[in-house]
Amino acid sequence: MLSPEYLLKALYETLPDPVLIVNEHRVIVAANSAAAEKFGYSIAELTGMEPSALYESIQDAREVGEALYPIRDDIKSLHRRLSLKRKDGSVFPSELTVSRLGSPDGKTVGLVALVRDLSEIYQAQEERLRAEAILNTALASISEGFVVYDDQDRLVLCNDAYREIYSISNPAMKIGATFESIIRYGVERGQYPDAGDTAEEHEAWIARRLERHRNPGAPYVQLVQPNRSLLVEEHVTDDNLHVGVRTDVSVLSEAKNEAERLGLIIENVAQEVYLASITHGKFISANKAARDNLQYSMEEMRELSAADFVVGSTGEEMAALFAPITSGEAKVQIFNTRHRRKDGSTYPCRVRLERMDDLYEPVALAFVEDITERLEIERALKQKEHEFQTLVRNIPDFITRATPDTTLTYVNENYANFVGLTPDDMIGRKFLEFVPEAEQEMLIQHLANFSQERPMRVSEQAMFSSSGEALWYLWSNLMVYEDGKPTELVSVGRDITEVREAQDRIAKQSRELELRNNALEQFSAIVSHDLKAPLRQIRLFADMIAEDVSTGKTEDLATFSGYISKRSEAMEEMTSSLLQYSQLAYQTINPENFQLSEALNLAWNNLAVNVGEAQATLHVESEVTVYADFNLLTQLFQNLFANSLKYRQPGSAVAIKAHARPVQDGLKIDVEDNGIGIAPEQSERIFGVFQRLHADEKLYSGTGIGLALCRRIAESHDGSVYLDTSFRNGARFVVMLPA
Amino acid sequence: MSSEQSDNQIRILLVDDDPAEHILLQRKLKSAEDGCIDLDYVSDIGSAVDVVKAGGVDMIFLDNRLVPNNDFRETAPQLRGAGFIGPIGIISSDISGRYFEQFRDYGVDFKIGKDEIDGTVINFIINEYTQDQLSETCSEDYM
Amino acid sequence: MLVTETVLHLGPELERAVNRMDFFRLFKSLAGSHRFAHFGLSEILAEEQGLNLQHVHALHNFPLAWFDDPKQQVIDSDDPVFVYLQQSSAPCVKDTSENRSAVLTAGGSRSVAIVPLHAATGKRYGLIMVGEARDLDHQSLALLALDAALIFQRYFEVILSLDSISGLSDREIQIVRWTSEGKTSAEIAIILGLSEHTVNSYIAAVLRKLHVVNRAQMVASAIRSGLIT
Repeated sequence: MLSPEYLLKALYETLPDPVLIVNEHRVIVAANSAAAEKFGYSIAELTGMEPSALYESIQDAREVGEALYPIRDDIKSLHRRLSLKRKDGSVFPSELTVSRLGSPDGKTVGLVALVRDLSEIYQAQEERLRAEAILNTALASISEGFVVYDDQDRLVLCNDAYREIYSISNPAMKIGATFESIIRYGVERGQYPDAGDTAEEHEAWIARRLERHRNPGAPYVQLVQPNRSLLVEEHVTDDNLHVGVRTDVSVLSEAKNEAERLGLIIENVAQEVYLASITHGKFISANKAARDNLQYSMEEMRELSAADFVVGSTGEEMAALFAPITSGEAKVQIFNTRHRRKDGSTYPCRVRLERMDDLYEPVALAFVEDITERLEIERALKQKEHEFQTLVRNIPDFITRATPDTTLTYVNENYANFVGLTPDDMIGRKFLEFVPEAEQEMLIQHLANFSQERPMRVSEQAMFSSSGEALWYLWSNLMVYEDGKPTELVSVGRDITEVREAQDRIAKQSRELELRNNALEQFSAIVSHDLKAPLRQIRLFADMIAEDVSTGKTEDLATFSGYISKRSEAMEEMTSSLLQYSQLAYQTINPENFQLSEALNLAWNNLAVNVGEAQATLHVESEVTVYADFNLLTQLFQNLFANSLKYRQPGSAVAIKAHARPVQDGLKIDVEDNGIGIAPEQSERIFGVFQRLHADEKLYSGTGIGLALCRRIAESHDGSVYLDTSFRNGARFVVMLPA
Repeated sequence: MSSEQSDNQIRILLVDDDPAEHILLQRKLKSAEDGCIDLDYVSDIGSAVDVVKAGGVDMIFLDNRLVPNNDFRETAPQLRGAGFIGPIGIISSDISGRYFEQFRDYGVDFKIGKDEIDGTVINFIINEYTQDQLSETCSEDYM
Repeated sequence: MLVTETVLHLGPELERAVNRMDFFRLFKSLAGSHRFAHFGLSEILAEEQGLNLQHVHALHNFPLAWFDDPKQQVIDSDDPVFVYLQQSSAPCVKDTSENRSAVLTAGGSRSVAIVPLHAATGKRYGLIMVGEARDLDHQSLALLALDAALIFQRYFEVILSLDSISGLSDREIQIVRWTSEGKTSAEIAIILGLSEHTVNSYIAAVLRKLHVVNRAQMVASAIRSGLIT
């Protein structure tokens, strides 16, 4: 049987906590083995020690001592936490409980001190705190949102990231707030874009959310403002705690979207895109363009390898072609080939093959371009090029291209032939070299005047062919500008020799026509003036005769009729002179070569009668040959001689000298006489029609048309005739004829 | 106007190198009513100057083209130079030349074409150039 | 009767007309080109006076014998021609059988063309032309009237309007100067190489321009206005 004392003793002995009994003199009288163990003293040592030695702090020892001593009967228990000291000096935290030890008669005989070593507890606490701190730090530092709701669905804890993620709902996230209240708060404020707009939508969403929260399934993506995608993972623990993790997958979503987009693009792009496994040779994937053009479905494609639709190559040849890719030697390969569609038709294409090792198996990515159209365009271009070349070769114009400094870069055959060189000989040389020297200066000037506003200039140029032929060309020069700088000079030359000649002819004809018109005007003036005067007199005299006859007055009739006759005669002379003038003056000249002396002698002979009367002599000094109209020239000299015969010195024999000699511009012929001469101030007048020279001259005859005709004839030979006013002792006429 | 002559007598000098013109003008003057026209004639400018110097000429009709080729620009000043202050008229078969426009600068009073002259024209000329433009209100003797 | 048929080219001749003689020639030529042998131009003044062909600016080539009184070259105020001119501003051709005026019926004239003319200043002039009986068609009358108006306008510019022009020409100033030095018209004529007639014409023109009546006043006026010193 276990008596209480035994039990008590057993307890005292086995209690792991130190027990010390202290008497009223504050001396330890008993200690259990735990105490000995704990404090490091033996029991014997302890017994008889003062407990204050066991305190770390003297202060504590004193305080306890004061609180307890002197011992009273009604002393209360003391609980204190303080540090105690072992024998070796180390300390440990403890909980000290001191109670009254009473005798059976109720007197306090001592104190019982119970020591509980709090080291472990403290340590455990410390560890616990440290663990908590680490957990909090971890929670605070992770970017994932972390939240725990208790079994009542009230917020227990959440980290900063969670608050930040649901920033709009944050104000509602107070410890103890319900999950529902928090999400309601957020829904109303637009935290969840998917929650809809209307109250009904909101409620529906909230209901779904709560359901999911209570029965979490697989993680799912949630959209929150502002524009973030979150992966929501929720668990309910065995203790019915709701743990939630929120991972921001915006980037991933975006990436996924991007990937989707890219995939769509590739799928729909016009170029054919193929992905093939290098290992198996079969296609993994092909985009729409590829499938459509080849007319296979995706499933069919996956059964095919390139050899199946590449025309004209055997499997070995294909393998050889792909060898660099398959071996890994080359990363990219580009080649042209031909594909056969499902229906058998074929098309030419250009392939770019790229090896890709980054994926889970080596694959080849092929970009294939159907070059049917391109080939067609190239063909058409070649055709056009050919046509152009034909054109350029066949048009007679000259075509050159040159750099802005006139260095030739291209000449067409025609120009080369003209110059007498091959095109290659000409390329590299400046085209100025082929321009006649006389024209070079003008051309340089011409070319200097290009500007972007006026890039085209046209000029007429005399050119000499390799055979020495003189031609006229119209050059159209175009300076091509790029970004404001001249880059090329393109020139086209057109033969306008004929055109120019035609123009010259027309100009000449116009001049002749003008001359004729002028002459006609003069003629009319002469007619109206010089013929009207005598006509008037004739009429008046006739009237006067009629009047006198009617009145019987006859004495003047003879005078009057005499005047009529004279004037009529004069008019006759004038009209025949004018007729002669008009016939000769504008006659087309028929030039020929003859000795001048022939014309001079013939003219003299024509005037034989007058010559005889005037006893005139002619002295000719002329060995020259002229190229002129023989008849007209004879007439010219005849008129000059007649003039000399007419205006002679009365009583002297007429002596005329004709002297011809070549001069710088042509031929100079002097005809001089020893007559009465002509006043210098009349030197121009005398060449007018019907001009009078001399006081005694017969009216209305004057020089008649003789000298006027001389001038006209000389001018129609591009020459001239004039009076030498320096000559005295007669009249000297000078006739100039061109070479 | 010479005060020595009778009121109606007017002496006109014709200067023309063609004597036929003298005859024709004489005839025309006959048809002009003014019977008191005395027509004198010379054929060159030298003689005209002499006649003018001798005095008594009231009016001169000057042919524009005298021998050899002188027109009024040369001949009229000679007449003025000889002291003639009566009216001088240019008569010509052709008065279309531009230089005719300056006839007043050479002391010529009027121009007329030969074929325009008839009796009434002579009348007008005589009336026009012998009337006193200032007689009624004006006097020479004011000094 | 020698009828001349010179037709002066209106354009250039108009420009070259510088004195009364030239305008006489022009009107005469105009008359002649429409086969009228005689013409008369004068200002239409007050009724009582009739058409005075001795008016300072009148031009005519009617033979003096045609006038009742050669010293009074007038068409009477009761002559239908004058009456017409008084009352109408449109040209017309009339038969002269109604006329009592000898002027218009003498010489065998049987028709008279009447052209009222107006100077820009408002002065009215009348041009009459007489000739043998002829029917002048509408167009010819129109041409006649137009040419008459053109000549008259020029006449106005060159001769008539001098009355209102205030500036003196160089020649006129020259003559005023000589006059102020006591030279007579004859003397000035010799000095300047002009006819006495011309000198008197200039003086007459100056008198009109300066609105004076004799040489003394002319000189005085010229000195006053600084034209001569």
